[in-house]
Amino acid sequence: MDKHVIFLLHGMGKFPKGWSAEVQQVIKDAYGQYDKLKTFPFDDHFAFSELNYDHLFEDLRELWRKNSMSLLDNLATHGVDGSLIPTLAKLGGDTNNDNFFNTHLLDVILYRFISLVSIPVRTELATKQIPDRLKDDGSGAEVKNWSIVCHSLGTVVGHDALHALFSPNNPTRPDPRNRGPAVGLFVANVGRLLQNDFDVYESVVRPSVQKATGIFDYYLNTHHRLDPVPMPKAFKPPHEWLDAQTRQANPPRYQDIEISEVTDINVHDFTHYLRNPKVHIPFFRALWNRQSIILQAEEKAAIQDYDNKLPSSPQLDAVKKDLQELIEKQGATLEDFLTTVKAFCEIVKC
Amino acid sequence: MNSIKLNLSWLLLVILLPLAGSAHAACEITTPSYEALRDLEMEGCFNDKAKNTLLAQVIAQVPAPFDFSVPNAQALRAQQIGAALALVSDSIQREQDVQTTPALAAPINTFAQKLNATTATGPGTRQDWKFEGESGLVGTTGVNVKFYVDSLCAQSLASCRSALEASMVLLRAAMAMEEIAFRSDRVSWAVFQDHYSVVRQRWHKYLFEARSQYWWELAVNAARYDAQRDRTESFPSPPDYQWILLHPDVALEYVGNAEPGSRLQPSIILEWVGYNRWSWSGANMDHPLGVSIVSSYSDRAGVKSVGYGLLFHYKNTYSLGITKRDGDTGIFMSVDLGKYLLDKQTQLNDARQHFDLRQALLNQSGN
Repeated sequence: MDKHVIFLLHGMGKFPKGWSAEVQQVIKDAYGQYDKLKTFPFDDHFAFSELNYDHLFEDLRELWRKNSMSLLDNLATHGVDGSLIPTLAKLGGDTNNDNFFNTHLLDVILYRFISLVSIPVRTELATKQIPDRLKDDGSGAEVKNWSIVCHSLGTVVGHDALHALFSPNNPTRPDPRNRGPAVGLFVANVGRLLQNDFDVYESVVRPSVQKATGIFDYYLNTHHRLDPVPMPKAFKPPHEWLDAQTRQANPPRYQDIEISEVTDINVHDFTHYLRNPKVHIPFFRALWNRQSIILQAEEKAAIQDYDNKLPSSPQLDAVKKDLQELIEKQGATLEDFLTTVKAFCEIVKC
Repeated sequence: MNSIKLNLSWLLLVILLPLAGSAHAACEITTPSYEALRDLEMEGCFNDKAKNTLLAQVIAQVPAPFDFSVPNAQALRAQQIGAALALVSDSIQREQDVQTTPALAAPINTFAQKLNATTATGPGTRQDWKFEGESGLVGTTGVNVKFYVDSLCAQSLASCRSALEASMVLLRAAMAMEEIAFRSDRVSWAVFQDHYSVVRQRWHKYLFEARSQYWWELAVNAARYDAQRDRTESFPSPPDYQWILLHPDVALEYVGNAEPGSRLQPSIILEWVGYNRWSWSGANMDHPLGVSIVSSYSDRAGVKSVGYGLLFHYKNTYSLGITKRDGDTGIFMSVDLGKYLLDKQTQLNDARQHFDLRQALLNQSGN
């Protein structure tokens, strides 16, 4: 039987090949907790596929590093007057130091403001990495069922790639009614704050029962009460975002999942979200398009069990308090966002 | 005695478990209900060609991938699709012929009507045939399997079984139709990917094979590019130019009036502003040419350390410049060109020593 492919898309930071191993394990472990799902083993029905765009940022940083290294080497031997060239050389090379600005915020800034970076990123994902996994691999069959799980910066990158792919403005688009994805799980969604070419409320990246106005069967949006990253310009689509038929669908095709449980100080972490049954249960139900795949009693028990095991310590309480204060002070602009992310990472030591 | 009973229980369990499993593998309903039908769906009874023979037959009729560039390709594909549709119609016709439950005749007839319409409209899309398990709807056929199963299961076990069996026929046919629709769509993932392969390659070349751009140059060029492009376009081609701005670099500069031994030296250059352009020819950058206003800085005996001039770029790799320092002319080339000629920095130094030695010998012979 053809497997349902689940793409995983990372957020800001350094993501070498194989970055998704932990995420995959967390999803599989969560899947294996539920009685009915055990009779339909994950590996028999699903396969992961890791997407990566960080290499493009890394390649650019490496290019700048090489240029400035050669420059700085020669500057040292030449005693060049004036401060402009050394300053420029330093500005170019600084982007390759593994400090928080370069590995996290620079990605956000480059993606949001420099189309000469964001367009090749979406082109690479939509026209190379995704089709590479879905096209006929010589077996005579394409992958028909697929979904995507995006995190943080990856939510806007994934949004842009999917809209570009299936947009009516794409003259050679695959028909979403034949090749559209089933489920989109958007974790710590920053799509609205960082949107550039494509408006997240106008794009085709939305659920639609007949795939007339959107490409997904289910769109799940999740955010944590203490995670400041998805808060400015939070993703809250208007009523008309869903077409009439989709609005009436049961179970709901758009689900906004807010969580508040804290098992680790880094509440923004991809796996911190996925471990939470309030996040992964709707995801598994959507993947199978079947609510009864996890019975309500089982869901209740899983949430209760998760709550019972929540860690508690004065240190964790202090972090929660700091995060709460950070969120209360947070503004809604991109500048506020960058400042907050930096402060957040200082608190949770990411 | 108890141990014998226990052993017998185990024996029975060992015998029955595989049987229960084979019943599932055979896609049979054990406990009649709509939920049981959904279990079969999850087991692949409808979408696995090994468990749905109609699907396997359809796949054999409409092979993929299909080469549309061969002569009469469209007619051949239409023929294949027509044969596959006939297979599905036959399966539904057989069900119509044997169906004795009046309540089930209606959905089967409705499905058959939708199927008949495909002879004029084509197979449609997957969405037209997709089984939505939660609602029970089968695509846009107007058939709601859940409605019929639930209502007949409320009447009697026999009616329930009939409803489930008829539903399985419909769902096997619906899945076969999904497959036909999917294979009829000419924009496969491979076709889509091929269509944009040139644009993708162009972007790689723009970022990594054109002249390197620092982030501030990327920002300036992006602003210019954004002002010119259609922002609704999915995968626009990259620009065919780049502005060069405050770009520091290293070059190998020759100043004839400098003292022997310091005439050919690495120097620091700063391109204040410049422009580099080319023509896209497929994924290739044709005739890249550019020019920049430049200052060069070097610490050498006998001449002023700062010179001003022009730097010309060719093929994004080779740059040749000319500077003036109080009337002294300096010629320089980019280290990329130096690399092309000499490959390694050490070889560059060797060349300089060799050049200086020749100069010294020439001076000596001149004297």
